[in-house]
Amino acid sequence: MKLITHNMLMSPGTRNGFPLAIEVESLEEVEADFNPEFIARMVEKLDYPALLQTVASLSVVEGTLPPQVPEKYAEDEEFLKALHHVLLEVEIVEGSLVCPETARKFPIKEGIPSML
Amino acid sequence: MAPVAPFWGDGPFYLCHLIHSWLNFRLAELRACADVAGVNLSIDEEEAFELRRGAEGVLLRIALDDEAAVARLTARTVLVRSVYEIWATGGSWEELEASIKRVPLAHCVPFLAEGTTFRVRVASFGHKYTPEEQTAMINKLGPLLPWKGKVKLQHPDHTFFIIVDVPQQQADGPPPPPHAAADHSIAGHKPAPLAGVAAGPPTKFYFGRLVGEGQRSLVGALDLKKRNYIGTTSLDAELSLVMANLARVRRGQLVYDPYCGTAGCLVAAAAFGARVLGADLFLPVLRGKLRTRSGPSALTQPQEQGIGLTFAQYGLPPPAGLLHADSGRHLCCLRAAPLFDAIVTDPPYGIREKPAAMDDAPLLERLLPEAQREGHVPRTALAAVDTILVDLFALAERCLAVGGRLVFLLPTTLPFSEALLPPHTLLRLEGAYEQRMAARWSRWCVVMRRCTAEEAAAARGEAAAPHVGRVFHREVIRPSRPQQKDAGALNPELLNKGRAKRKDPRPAAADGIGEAARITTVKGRDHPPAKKGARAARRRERAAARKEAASASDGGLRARLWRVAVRTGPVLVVLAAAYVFYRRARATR
Repeated sequence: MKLITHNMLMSPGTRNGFPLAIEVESLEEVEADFNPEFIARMVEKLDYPALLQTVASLSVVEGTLPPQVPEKYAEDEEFLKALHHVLLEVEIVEGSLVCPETARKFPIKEGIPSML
Repeated sequence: MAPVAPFWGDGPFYLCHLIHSWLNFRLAELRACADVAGVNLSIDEEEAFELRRGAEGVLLRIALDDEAAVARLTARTVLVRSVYEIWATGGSWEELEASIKRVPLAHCVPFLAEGTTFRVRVASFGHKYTPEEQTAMINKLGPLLPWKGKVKLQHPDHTFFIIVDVPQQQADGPPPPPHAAADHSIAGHKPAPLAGVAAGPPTKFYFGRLVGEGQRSLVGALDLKKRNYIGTTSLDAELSLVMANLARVRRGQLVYDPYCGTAGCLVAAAAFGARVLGADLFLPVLRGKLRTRSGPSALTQPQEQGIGLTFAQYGLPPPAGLLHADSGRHLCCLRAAPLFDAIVTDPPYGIREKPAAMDDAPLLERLLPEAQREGHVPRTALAAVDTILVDLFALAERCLAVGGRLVFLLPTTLPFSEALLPPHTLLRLEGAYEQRMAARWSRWCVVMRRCTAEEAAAARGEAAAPHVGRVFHREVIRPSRPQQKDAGALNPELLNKGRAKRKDPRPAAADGIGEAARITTVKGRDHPPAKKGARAARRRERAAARKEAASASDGGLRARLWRVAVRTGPVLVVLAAAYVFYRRARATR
């Protein structure tokens, strides 16, 4: 599971089940093609504070993102590259997601979270 | 809408060569592609209507701003084979010649100038020319235009086409006579006139230059037969590409499929440059553990397979994510925000692909102990078509960006209308395109656009059609099991009378069973059972009925003994006689 997916997930059947806490068992850093257009589009769709919260909990990417989205983010290649790395190049292979409301656990196996 | 230039004189126009399948999708796809490419496409409404009505034609006049627009359009179209810039037209060869002579030199010289290479080809529809006839036609062009370039048949700079469109016989007319006068058509450069066609639209000749070719190669490239990983119901590559076009998938967008399976829809969306996210309730399919190819092809099946490898096979970036999740509206695991630019999906409707919703009370109600949850496989159940639609609309209203499209396939046994769809406030129906599946049902590709709340409020004033209810009547396709006849409800004498008349040995109770057995053989088909197995089935039925009759009657044992005696009696008599003869013979010796 990549962090881009994590930023969209919430605990099913809850009101405040977002963002889910991540318990990492194994994590991989993969390489992905950088597509600035796509990342810039994603900025509008992301819940940035939730992403910062998640990033702070993962040691590999901690502190790589600025606390605020820059004004002209579409031209800010450095920011887009950092965001690209966080969103698409960090893969949580094994672990679990924990609902902040009910403390329910959703396992992640082979990179696929089970949201049931 | 800009008027379409009819003939040379008002400037060249473009002729679009569509493929002759997916008839109901062709125009919609063309318009959607123009939308994506941002080109100003105009189609003569009358001609479009003719094309839809007749569904025979493959040529369509279109107006576009320039050649760059054609290139942008054909970079997306899957159902367009090619686009030509038409220089001259005519109702006969003579008219075409006259028309070619009128082409302004300033326009044609750059393509015929020295140092360029070219070739000329003949494309004919509704009539076949032999290679000799084609060469004769091409040679006739020699004196008409200042050809200065060099002929090159492979990869020339410019390709010119002579296009001949012979309209086909209308369905209600008499059958066309064979093209006997083939040589006449060389002499007069006019195909053999057809008896019944005289009243129909006339033959058209065009001369033009090839300016764009559609993405037909993409259909071959994504062909399921060559795909690394497919399931039993993977979506046809061509349809998936058309759906991605109808969804206006663009580069840099995020596309979601809530019932992704082996990711057929997502591969097509990714082929047009989008990043994708998929969800499915069946975990093995996401992990690439599906084993569907059996028989000899099992040998050729790759050891390594999976959705990620399918994307790698096509050189596409891997999906942004895969989720093991139920897409029901009460279990939606995506936060409510405009996350996706398009949702393209082929949901499991229970016709070929069964489970669609989770039906696991212990898991849902969180009664499952933590220890057991690890390897727990959730119980799934068949969801009704209508339920899936409600879920899908709820998802689209929750997660689709304004202006984004929801494209899905819907099987119906009824003619499609908006009233078939469950209530949807924030989605506007854009179109539905039919693909005939069998005599009694069709599959529709439904395109809906997510609109703003204001738009929805404005539209609320319009009288909404009431929801019809059941979209898909399973009974129409699979006859439901008839109720067992209630023997007690009928006068036993009447029952006996009926049986005697039919000379049917079955007792009344067996009737229903026989009927049920016959229905079971029909199950799953929408046509009567083949004659081949009918006799065997009847024999089995009769045997079953006999057995039943024997055990049901009071003197079952006696009757059976009697039957044994009747069958074995003659044999015993013969044996006894033989023995007596043998004894006599020995005694006399």
